[in-house]
Order: sequence, then structure tokens, then C-alpha cells
Amino acid sequence: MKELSGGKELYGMVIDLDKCTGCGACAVACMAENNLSFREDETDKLRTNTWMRLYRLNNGQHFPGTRVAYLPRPCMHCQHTPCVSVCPVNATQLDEKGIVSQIYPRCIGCRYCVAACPYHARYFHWWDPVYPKGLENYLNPDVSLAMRGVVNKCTFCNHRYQRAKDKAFLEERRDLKEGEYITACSEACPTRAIIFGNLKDPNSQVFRLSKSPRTFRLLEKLGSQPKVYYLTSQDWIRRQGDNYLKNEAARKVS
Amino acid sequence: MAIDRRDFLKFVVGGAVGTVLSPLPWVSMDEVAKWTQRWAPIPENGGTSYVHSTCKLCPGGCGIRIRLINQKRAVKIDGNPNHPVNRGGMCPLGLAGLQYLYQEDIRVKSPLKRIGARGKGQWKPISREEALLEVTTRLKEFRQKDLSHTVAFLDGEGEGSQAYLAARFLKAYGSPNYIRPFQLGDLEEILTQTIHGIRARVAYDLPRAQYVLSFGSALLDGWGNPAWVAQAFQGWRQDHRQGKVKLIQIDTMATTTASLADEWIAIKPGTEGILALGMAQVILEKGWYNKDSVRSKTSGLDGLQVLLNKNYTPDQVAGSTDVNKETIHKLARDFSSAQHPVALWGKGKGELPVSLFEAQAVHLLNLLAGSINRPGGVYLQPGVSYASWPKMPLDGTAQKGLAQPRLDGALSSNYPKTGHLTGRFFANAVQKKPYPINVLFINEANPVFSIDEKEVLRAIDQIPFIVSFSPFMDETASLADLILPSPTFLERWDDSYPSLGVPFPVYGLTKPVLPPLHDTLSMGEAILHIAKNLGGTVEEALPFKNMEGVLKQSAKGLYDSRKGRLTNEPLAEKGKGISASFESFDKFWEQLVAQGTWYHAENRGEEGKGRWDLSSFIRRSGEPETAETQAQYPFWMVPQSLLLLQSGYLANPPFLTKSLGKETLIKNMLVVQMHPNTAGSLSLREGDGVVISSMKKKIRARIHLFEGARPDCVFVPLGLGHKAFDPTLKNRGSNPYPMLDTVVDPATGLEVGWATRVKIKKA
Repeated sequence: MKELSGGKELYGMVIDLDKCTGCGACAVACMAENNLSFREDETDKLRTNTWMRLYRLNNGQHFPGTRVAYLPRPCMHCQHTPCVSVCPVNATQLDEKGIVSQIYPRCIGCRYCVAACPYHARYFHWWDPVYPKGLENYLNPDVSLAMRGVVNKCTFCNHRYQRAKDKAFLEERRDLKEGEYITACSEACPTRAIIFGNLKDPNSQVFRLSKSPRTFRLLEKLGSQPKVYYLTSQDWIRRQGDNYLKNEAARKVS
Repeated sequence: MAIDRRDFLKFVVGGAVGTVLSPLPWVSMDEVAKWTQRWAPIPENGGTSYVHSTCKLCPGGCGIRIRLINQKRAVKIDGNPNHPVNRGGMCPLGLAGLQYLYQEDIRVKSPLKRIGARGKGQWKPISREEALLEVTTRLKEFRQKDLSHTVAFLDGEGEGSQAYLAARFLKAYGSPNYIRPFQLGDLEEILTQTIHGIRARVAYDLPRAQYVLSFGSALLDGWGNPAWVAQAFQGWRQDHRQGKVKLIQIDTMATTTASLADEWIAIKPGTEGILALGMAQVILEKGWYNKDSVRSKTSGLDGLQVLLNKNYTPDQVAGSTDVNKETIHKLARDFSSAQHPVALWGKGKGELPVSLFEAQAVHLLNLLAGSINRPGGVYLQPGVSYASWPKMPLDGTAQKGLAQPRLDGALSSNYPKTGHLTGRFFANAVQKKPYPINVLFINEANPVFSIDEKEVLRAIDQIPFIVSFSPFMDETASLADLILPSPTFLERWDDSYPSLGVPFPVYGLTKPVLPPLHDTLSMGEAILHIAKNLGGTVEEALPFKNMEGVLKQSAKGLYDSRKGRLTNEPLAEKGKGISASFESFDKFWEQLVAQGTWYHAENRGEEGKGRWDLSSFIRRSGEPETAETQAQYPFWMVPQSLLLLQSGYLANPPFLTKSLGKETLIKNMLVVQMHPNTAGSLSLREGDGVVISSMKKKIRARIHLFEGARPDCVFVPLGLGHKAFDPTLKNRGSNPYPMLDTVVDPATGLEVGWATRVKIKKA
């Protein structure tokens, strides 16, 4: 992976699709943590706002050979970012710990980044954020709400990083321990399929898992270097994660 | 004065220059900018604190941690990492719990009295005292008239101290009609009584099981206790156990569980029990059963073998289940040769009963493998009540009332082993057989939605006074005469035990984490008030000031057991129980309230009485028959259980509805799944509208083509089609419950219905 900074931290995620049951806990935890708003008709998936989106994959075989699998898709927090390079106002940046940020007051709503993102991980607020009556009461004060006319996306729960850092500072530590900073989705996952941590820490679980022979990354051939790794033992899932020529073999699990 | 051309031009130019020089354009531009920009709300900030409690959204009893801002605003529910059931993980429903608390459109905000006709939605807010007085007056009246048995209580909570309190109240008052909607536990009790001679719950030791054979149970889509199953599943899939644990799913469609299982056995809908007996036949014939266990603990093996050899040979079973002979053979061999095998029953989430035949057939496999009360097997858990309550005095009226038969016919000579028959209750209430119901209390149940709507509505017409304790204006509450709204589980004292499907005792305490948002009173508190108003033996039976007092009584039982520990305690030394670490009950209670859960992680199973009776299979193997309507109704409609779609008493919260995929809901239309070839034969394409009709009812839907669907089936999700609740759910999709063809299982009296014959037409 291209070294962007000499820092000790580079956050990333590993999602084990062999363990993912598609329960949706990650998506719900994300919506609750990050104050995502609602629309009356949420079945129009082009307009609904879900930073963590659950895709249902299917091996295409007929009964009884069919298998489905679920693929939770947060922002990939690419290390070589297609979105940052097109932003005319510096509203989105790759910070030194590997998180692709989004700063709402800077965003002018040009949506270049939405077009540039190959993962459909960016959402644009065409409308004012609304919540069913009464639900403004549970909004998280650590996360600012995206207003109308700006792009928003998964932040790897950056506010939790700040909280963890504050706590470490009070305890006179400079570095975070493993598990002190994790995203809401990874915390909620009942099967522990989503693991989050520091990719530069050789003792961390994400470091170890990201080197697993079962890993693949979405659209890896684009060279965007996502920091979200998926694990699977199924070749058909791996094939759907990238564009392959008809006769080209996907890298097999060794 | 005449205005010439020059004057006119002067005026226009002067006006234009004047306007531009005035602040008007700038002010109005500024105003327009402000007016069109509505800034997002800024959530109130403040000190953060965390409170531990227990989730009450299902009987799973997961430990939760609620994040509070300024100690009054709940902003997030997370799992408690030290909890033995969910270990920090959460199901999506629990994570969305705050939406039940805060969503104003669905909550009932104060006691309401109906003023218009039923169902018209005209209510008058009244005070709690008035409401309680109204209930008491009626109850007094019926007691005086010796009609105490005509008061009934439908309690969907069904378990825990609050339910115990309600049942006790009804008994002291003098009515046998405390009824619980169906839950899988009812059938487990009947099953264990027929075979083991005791009424017990069945808890599977999933974390230690090594060969899990599921007969249509939607293990990963909400069967049993979702967080507990998820914990077990992640254990099976850990690297060091990879390949050592096998999950085999028997299912009619490529469901989540079937897809993530090591093997999926496709089967004809409704024939799971037959397959289990086919496997049992092979196991017995080849002598693969656990001989020590079976010979020493069971009786009636020979008779069983004769029956199986006659009717359930692999050839016969293959014919009726569409599972081929070799597969039956292989399943039998793998199951009986595996370490720690376990077989599970209860289709879907277990929200609908299966036949006793099917439950027994699957349970037989566990008996033959010697998996009863063994690590990785099935634990029989007799019902526990921690409350050591004082003996209950019954006066003459109560005794007379209790001598009357139950309206639902449960525990009668016809169905001596069945505890509750909700469907039959409503049917008999319509016919007033053997007596009419005068008052019906409803708590945490929505029968208008989840049972045959028409029959329930007819029954409701016959009942003059209905009291609902629902916190939400659901379909049933909207037909009540009086609503005494309960607070949600985040605003009340309550508890949760036993933890569904967990093979060791867990007691979860639920406490108010924030002050009640509305003028509400929990069901338990209301019952205590009513009992006090009634006085006499009814009051004596419930000697508690409030719910906190009731829970303390239950906690006393835990403390006195001198076992177990609390969630946040560091691991106690072996042999050291709670009594070692707490000097007094008060200290224990204080810590229980702070930490939320007590548990005793030592698997316990009850052996049962005498030898396990295998001959009961022969006597009771009546399998409900479905009518031969194949020609007219060529397809099976198979209900589909989804974790993201609540199908019971609780309506789907907005977070979950938002997460549903296009294979479940599109705009306001229910989506059903069908094999592309089946759709082709009906000239249907993706997204086409269809009308699906069963013998009872028809619904409209759109179709989604899915290669993993069995070609003669159509898969319909359960839980949509609400006529109440918030705009994200109300009037979206259709409710398939009233379509289900149910057959009364002669062995239990339960209405069994899963796959239903339907026909499909293009709309």
C-alpha cells in the first residue's frame, strides 16, 4: 500500500463475508450513530441514504444450487482516492490516519465526488434532512447533520476517534490501544464479521486478517486501494467484487 | 397634469436606480437565501453517561447499554460486552429500540377512552385514576354477579415477573382465562411432557454443538434468540474450528441460513417431520444410534421401529419429501457419527406452530443420538420462577370462577397438555361457547394483525369491554374501549427470564433509564392498582407497593440461591457465588440494578420422569392433512421470515423498514419471490403485479424473480400490511397471515399452518 504519511495509524476494516448473515445490525447501528435522515418512501434505493449499505449477492445458479451472500458496503476509504482529487473546494480529504473526511460547510454540492466514486458510497442530500416526528430526540450530538445540498458519506465514525483520543489524552497516553476506537457497525455486528482497527499495527486483528489468503477488495483493478478488505472462501463472491474478462480466472483461495 | 413620454421614462429610470441603491434587493436576497436554507437541527449536547438494562423487544433478554445525554435524552442502544447472551453484539431490532420510545406518531400518550363507534378512532384523554376506576368498577360488578370467569387476559409478554403478576391477579380474581399467544415454548412443553413426562423448555447448546441439523428453522433470520444464535454461528466459523462444525439446513428456498450453511437440503414444503423419521429409520436399522443412552433411558423402542419400518423407509420418505434416498442415508450417517449433533425444529422464526408430529420426529433424532442434556445437545429446562411469593388465598367467588372451563379449551380433556390456544379462544368468544367474555385485557399482543383477522374482529364485536395496555396505537388497540398505555421498556421496571433458547439461567432486569415521556403506567403497576381497588383476597394475593417491589421479590430468589454472578463482576472463583461477594440483599439489589443481569453459566437439564417414552410417537403420530386442492391451487405459498421485518406484536421500526431490499417491498407493494421458470410459465416478468389467492383470502403483490426459489412455491414475507403505525409502515405491503390455511393439529389443538395452497394471476 502506498505510504501517504509516516504516521503510526492507518485505519481500515475487514469484513468476513463467510460470517456475515445479512442481519442488518451494521446498517441500523450506522444510521443510529450518524443521524441519518429518512424519506417517506425508502424503497427507492437510488435516493435513500444508507452510509452502510447491504447488498444481497446471488451465485446465479438455479434451485437447488443457488446461494445468496450479503455484502455490507461502507465507504472504502481508498488510499488512492478518486473522490478527493475531483473536489474543487477541498471539502473531502484523505487525512493522515487514512480516513476520507467530508466537511459539510465547505461542500458546494457539485457532486463531482459522487460521480467519481466507483462504489456508490457517497450520498447527496437533495432535501432537508427529516425524521419521523419525535425522532430528533435521539440524535447523536457528536455528529453534525448534513444539511440540504451537501454530499455525505461514511466517516469511519471519526467522532469516535476523537472521543478515544480525548480519553487517551486524559490518561496521558499518546497512542490508542486496540479496540479503543472502533466504528458503530463493527461494535454492533453480532457475528463479529466486521473487524476494525489500525492496519499499521502488526499486532492488530485487522493487520492479520488483511493478509489472509481469503481477502479481496472491491474493484481492486481500478487501483483505488480501498482500506476495506473482504474475506470469503467462495470464488463466485470474489468474482462479483471486480470486473473480470470472460475467461479470466479470479485469484483462488490458496 | 399630463404625463408625457419623458416623465414616464424619468419615473421608470429613477425608480430602477432608486431600488438598486436602496437596501431592498440586498435584504430580500438575504431573506430568500435564509428562507430557502433550512439548516439541519443541532442535537442538544451535554454530559454523556451509560446505563445498563435488558432489552424487552423479544424474550431473548440481551444485555444493553444505553447512552444518555444529560441523563435524560437516550441517543443510542449498544450491546453489553459482558453479557453472557449477546456479548456486545446486537440484533437490528434492539439497535432500533429508541425508535419505539421516541416516535410520536405511534405512541399512545395518555389513557384514552373511546367515545365514537369502535374503530372510528375517536378518543377522549382521561386521567389514570379515572381509567383505573372504570376498570375496577366493571371488575367489581362481574365479581358480584359471580361472572368473574368471563374476564380474560391475553398476555403476549407471557413470561417474567410482570406476566406472573398478571396471571396471579387473574387467578385471585377468579378467572381461568389467562391466555398467551402462541410461542414455540408452548409446543416444547407439550413435546417434553409426551416424551419425558415433565413440562420443560428446550434449549439447544448451540455454541458447543458440532453438527447442527435445522429442519426449516430460520436460524440466521430470527429463529429463537437472534443474538445468541449469532454468537454461536460466529464461533462455528472461527478459523480454528473451520470445517469442524457443520450446519445443515433443510429448507425450501435459498434462504440466508440455507446459503450460509455447509449444506442445504432442498425439501418439499411441510414434509420436514417425515424426513426426520426417514433418518430415524435408517439410524435404527443400521444400529447407528447411541445404544447406551437409548437402552438405559428410553422405552418403547421396538414398537417405534416397527412403525418406522412400515411407513418411513427411505424409499417412502424420498417419495414424499423430494429428498433422494442417498441423501437421507448420508444425513443419517453424518448425524449419528458426528460429535455433539443436534437437530432443531420450529419453522421460520418459530412464530407459527408446527405439528407435534414434526416436533417429535425431529426430537427423536436427538434422543437417538444421545444428545439430551449433553454439552452441544438439547437441555430440558423446567420453567423457573424466582419469585418465592406468599401463598395465595382464594375466596369463594374465585374458587367458583376457577372451576369454570377455560374458554380456549386448553388444559381440558381434549387438549390436556396444551397450555394456551389463542385461535380457539377467539373462535369460542364469537360463539359465546361455553360462556360470553365480558372483559378482555390485552397486553403486548396484536391478534387483529397476526391471527385470522375476520375471526378476531367478530370476537371483538362480541366482547363489550376491551382494555389494551399497548404503548402503541396498533390495530388491536385501536379497537379497544379503554387504552391504559404502558411505557416502553426504556421507561419502566420489568424483567426478562428465562432467556429464550439459552441453556443456563439468565435473569435480566429492565429499569427506567429515563423519566416517562408520556402519561403512562406499566401493566404491572396498573394491575397492582386495580387489585388494591378491588380489595379482599385479590389485594392480599399481590402484596406489593409497586413493580420495583415485585422485582425485588424475584431478585430475592436469585440472592437466596447463592449461585451465579452479575454481568460486570470479574470472573468469580470456582465455587464462589453471589452470596460470597455481597454481604446483604440490599447490596446485591443495588448492583443488580446497576449491572442489569444475573446469570449462572452452568448448563442444567432436567432428566424427566421415568424412562423417555418413545411409544408416544406411535400413539400421537397424527399428521395434519391438507386438502387435496392441487389442481385448483397449483402453488405453495411459503411464509418467509426476515430478521429485518418484525412479524409479531411489534411493528417494524423505520430503521428496519429502510433496510428492506427490493425483494421485499417496492413503494407500497409487497414483493414475493418466485423462480424465473415458474414466472415464465405464467407469462410474468420481474416487477409484474400479481394477485395471489388462497382458499381464505387474496392479496396483491409484485414479483421478484429468484433462481433459489423452489419452482412450485411462491415466497411471501411475513410482517407487512399494517393498517396502523407510522407513515413508513402504515398501508405498505399486504399481510399474508389471514391467507394461511391452518389445520387443527389433533394432538395439540394448535392451528398449524405454514405452506398454503394458492393460485397466482397476473394483476
